[in-house]
Amino acid sequence: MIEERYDNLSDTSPHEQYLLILSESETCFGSEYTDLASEIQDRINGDALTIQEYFHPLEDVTNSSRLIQNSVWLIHWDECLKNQDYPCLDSFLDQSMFPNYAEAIICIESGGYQKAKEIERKYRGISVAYSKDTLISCAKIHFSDFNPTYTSGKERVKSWNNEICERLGI
Amino acid sequence: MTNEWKVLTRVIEHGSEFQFTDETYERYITAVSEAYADATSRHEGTPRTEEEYHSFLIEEVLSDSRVIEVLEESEVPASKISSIHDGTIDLESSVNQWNEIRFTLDELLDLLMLLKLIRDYTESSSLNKIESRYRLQKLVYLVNHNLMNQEDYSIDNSRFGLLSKTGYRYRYSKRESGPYSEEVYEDKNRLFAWSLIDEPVTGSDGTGEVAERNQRYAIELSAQGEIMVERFYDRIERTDSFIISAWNQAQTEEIQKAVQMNRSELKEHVNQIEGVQTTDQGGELLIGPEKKFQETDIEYLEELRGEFEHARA
Repeated sequence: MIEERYDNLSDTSPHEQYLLILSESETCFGSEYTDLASEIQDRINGDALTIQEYFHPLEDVTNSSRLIQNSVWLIHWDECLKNQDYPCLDSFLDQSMFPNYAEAIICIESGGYQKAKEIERKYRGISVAYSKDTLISCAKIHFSDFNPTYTSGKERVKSWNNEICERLGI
Repeated sequence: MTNEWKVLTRVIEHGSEFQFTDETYERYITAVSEAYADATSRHEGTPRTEEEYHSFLIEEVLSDSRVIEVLEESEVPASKISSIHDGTIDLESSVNQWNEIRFTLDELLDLLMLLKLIRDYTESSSLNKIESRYRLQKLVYLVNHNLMNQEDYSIDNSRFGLLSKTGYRYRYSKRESGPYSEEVYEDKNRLFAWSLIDEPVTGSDGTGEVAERNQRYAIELSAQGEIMVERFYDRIERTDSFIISAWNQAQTEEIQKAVQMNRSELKEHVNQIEGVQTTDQGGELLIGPEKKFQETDIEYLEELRGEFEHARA
């Protein structure tokens, strides 16, 4: 996980990134999250970035210090947000508190595009995926930007990493 | 300019009666993601300034033949497609639409009471500021601890006392520096980002607090923050709502005590609290009210919401 600040852009490459998964089950959109992570990895340009899934226990969801160490959050709508079972997530996802350059993708398995728009209106700056393809597309765009293969991507990774260090007191 | 690519998700429908279906949007965002990745690769990354980035989105992503093909097949109005070709598509308005969001009542009250805490402490202190992030963290903890130790007068008599009904929603755990809440830190950052508070560096001696190890930061209201508090101050002081009144009373009491203490006295005061002494590092010390406030508890809700939305904009 996050262990040190990056002083130089060159420190950012290669970069290993975790894909946070907040879900009660191991599957979404008919695929295992592990397979979804592999598909996302396959579509990333360059070889400076590797990603790996990380399943965080929902009973420890208030542990924001642990959650923020992942630049992409996949959150299952029905299991985590729909019934407000974990009210802290609402505040974590507020864009003014969510780390810069990180990405949260809420996954909904019913309701389609219209439901996705409805949820997006509630959470500013959050993506909502209603199918495997929409999920992978959102992740692909994110990792086009957040990718130390490119100079602008290095700057994003460095900025994100150091913001998290600041919040963790590193 | 973080995550502004999302403007692409709504810009096609913005200002138009056109609506994607499940299938057409899926095709659209897939084409956008491919065009975006290829354009990033061609240009060795994306531009840094907002103006350049918007041009990049229009010229390199939306104008990509794969995206245009999907838009045409989805029967997007010709005028929208023309606006992509001639570069006049309105990304700016779509960005503004993204920024519209409504605060929850609980968030608003936390933020308002934090501002009031800063104001009241500042007025009581000869230094005219809260001396450090350490002190802010402990003050908020002491307010909630005060409420936790008050009788809540309910049948089930919660172990969190009056804190089960009122107080800051923040969760506190034990760190090396004592009680610490990530949420207090984050809300403090929000107030700073909205220019409602200032955080001048006041010393090169850290306090040991998270994000205050090498420098000390004072906390004070900005001119804008002063105006905001002034607008609501008397309404909190004279409220008929028991839960707001109890919260405010606890806050006032803790400020009056803490303002008399120097840093080591405050540290000793906090660390001798039983829960702080007996809880292991990382363990939970207290959590905020489980029960949400009702909109009827605060009659100036919409005005307050408007003020924070204005500050955030």
